[in-house]
Amino acid sequence: MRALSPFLLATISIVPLVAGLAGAVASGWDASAWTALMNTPGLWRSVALSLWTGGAATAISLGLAHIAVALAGTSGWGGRLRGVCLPVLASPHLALGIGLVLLASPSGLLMRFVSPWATGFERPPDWTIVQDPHGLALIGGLVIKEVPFLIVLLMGALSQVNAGPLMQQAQSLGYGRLKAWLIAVAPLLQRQVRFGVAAVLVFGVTNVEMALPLGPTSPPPLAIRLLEWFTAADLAHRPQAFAGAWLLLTVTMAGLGGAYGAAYILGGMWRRSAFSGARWLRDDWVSRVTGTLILTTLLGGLLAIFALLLRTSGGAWRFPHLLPSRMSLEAWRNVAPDLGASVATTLLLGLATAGISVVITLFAAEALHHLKRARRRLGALLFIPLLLPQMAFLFGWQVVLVSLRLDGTLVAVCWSHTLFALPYVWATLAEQRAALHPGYQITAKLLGASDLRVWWTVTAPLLLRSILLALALAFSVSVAVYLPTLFAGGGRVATLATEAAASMSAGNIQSAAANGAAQALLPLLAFAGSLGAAHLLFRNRRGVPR
Amino acid sequence: MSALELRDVSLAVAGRPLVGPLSCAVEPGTILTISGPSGVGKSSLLAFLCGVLPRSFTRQGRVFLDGSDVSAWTPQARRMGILFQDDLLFPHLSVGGNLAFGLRAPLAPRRERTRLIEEALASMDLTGFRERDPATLSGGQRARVSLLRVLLSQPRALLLDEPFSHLDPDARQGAREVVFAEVRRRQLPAILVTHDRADAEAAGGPSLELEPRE
Repeated sequence: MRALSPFLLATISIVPLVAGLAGAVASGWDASAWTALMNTPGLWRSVALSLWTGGAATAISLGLAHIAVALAGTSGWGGRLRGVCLPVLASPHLALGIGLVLLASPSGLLMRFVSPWATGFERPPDWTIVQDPHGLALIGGLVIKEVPFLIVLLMGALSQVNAGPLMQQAQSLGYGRLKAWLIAVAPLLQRQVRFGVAAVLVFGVTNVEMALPLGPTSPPPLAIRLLEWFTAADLAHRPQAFAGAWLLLTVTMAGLGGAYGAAYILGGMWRRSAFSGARWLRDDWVSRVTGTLILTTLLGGLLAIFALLLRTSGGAWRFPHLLPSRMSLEAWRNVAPDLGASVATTLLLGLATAGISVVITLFAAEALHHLKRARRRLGALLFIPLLLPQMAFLFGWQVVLVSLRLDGTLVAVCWSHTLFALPYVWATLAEQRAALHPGYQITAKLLGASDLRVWWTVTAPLLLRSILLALALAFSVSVAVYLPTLFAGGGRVATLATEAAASMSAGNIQSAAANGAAQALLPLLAFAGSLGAAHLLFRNRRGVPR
Repeated sequence: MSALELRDVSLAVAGRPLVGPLSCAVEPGTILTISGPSGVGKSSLLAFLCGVLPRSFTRQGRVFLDGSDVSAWTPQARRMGILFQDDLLFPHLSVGGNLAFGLRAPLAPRRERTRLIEEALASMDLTGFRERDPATLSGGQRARVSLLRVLLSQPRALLLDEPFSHLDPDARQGAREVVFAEVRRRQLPAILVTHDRADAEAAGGPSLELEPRE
């Protein structure tokens, strides 16, 4: 098992990718499909919207996250910053998107805050705030969701690049805080997180989870159009959907290429700036402006979750009342009668995904703990699903599942969830395992412990905090993912994600809010449980790795 | 028949000879000191003796412990105690938990094991330390706990891989005396790898200098 586990991980990850892409080739390589696709009115506007929203959101998020970590990362505020990021980080994109609709739409929580005393509105104004045709709300939503992710990613890399002393050194040479960061630390960090940033870009360009509640509708971004074609009752749209999946893949690769080009140009500017010796001492105003933006972003995310939870009372909530008239869970039954069943299915899939991915990863981490190159290769392999548009291979994977008669089974859905959980689980556990001082295991062995006992009494406890975190991460991914559930489930496996998205598409915001709130709550509880347990465990043992 | 004997031991890594061929014997209660520049293979030799040398090394020769050839035995079966530069106390266990991990008295009831641990702690002026977090101990205290842990596992030989080099001078002197006294009291064959000439002098046994190989 131990020797085979790395191959098992690779198989879990590669089979759906290869089978999915092959299935897409088989179904999309048809001239009439492409003619139909190219004759779709507004197609290029959809393509442009996808690139624009994904690209802008990634650039803004990355800039804000860097500045946030520059301002707080090496000071005592780092831990608190991470804490503020956690709720938004844990919330699924879809749930957060629905929460943002409840927060920012004309009848939303923000408008109620200022009505009628400041605005005079007794009824919601007839404005377009969310789903605006230029995709600004979508960009805002993506920024709110990705800034915390990138902050946590950068903070994780911070400890590996010795940032504190580098910052001190640059500041003692007379550089302002932001310039010191930009020259001394940012390039090192950026190298460490480049694949994470690429994943954010790919998700931004290809997602449906945020675009469904917040994105433009006529025309929508390309991914939403594909979803409509694939889920249409009329199967005639299928071939053009497969051709569209290939177009989306091409667009995504073009987006990644563009990001690479932008990085190249920025690199040139960076070298000139690094050589100039300019100290940038008056950076206070930049810090203040961007700091305010970052706080607004983080606060916006927290308020969206709050709005989502408020809406779950499900009762009447007349504008401009700030709170619903009756706070009770009674109304859920009318709004979302199948919520209990969806919660049960979501829980089952989440627990299975977490258990399976963590157990196999622990075996593989044990097998590869002294093989750095193999670890890095497997990590890169497991990361591929995050660098491809989900649409590009999930549709083809569904075709394969149908031919295997596995579509619509929990096994198929769990497999598809595991595929997306593994990159996070691997990143959490593999390097932690490798970083353990090998002397602990050797010492235990020489004191007479069997290999199993060494793992159980020494390795596992030292990794326990990471194991708990990995379990919560895998569970959250499983709760969050929408397209893998929809396609591997053949539309027959109903989870909170699929129900929330279906309600949102149908324009039933109450039902979407109920499902979205439950979808946001489950990962929050998982993370709270995991972090709480990690805090209680080994409370009196300072030497245990965090 | 010596307690610990090496016969024609040679080690190589990636086709490059590292150590040996080397033959030597260590009598009970004596400490063989091995010195030599960094990278000469001292630690690899100890890893070979206790059976944890990575597979990437090629090895030849035999190791005898109390007359039996242990070359093919598992690390667990050889029962060679080793002390490293880092004390490697398990950070997730208390001081007492660490000692219990080492203690070889499988059939003894809980109370008896606790008594043995308390007794061991008292023998090294560590009375009352059983529930302590290892991270709160001084370097000298940690070195003594580490020694106790390995002694409680009833080793048949003791290997010392520069175990004093991380200690400050006062603690080093104390730890050295305690370790060497225990080796003599228990009549264990011991091998000490060190850079420090004072260590070698205090050990008072035969010594061996490893030369770098081209």
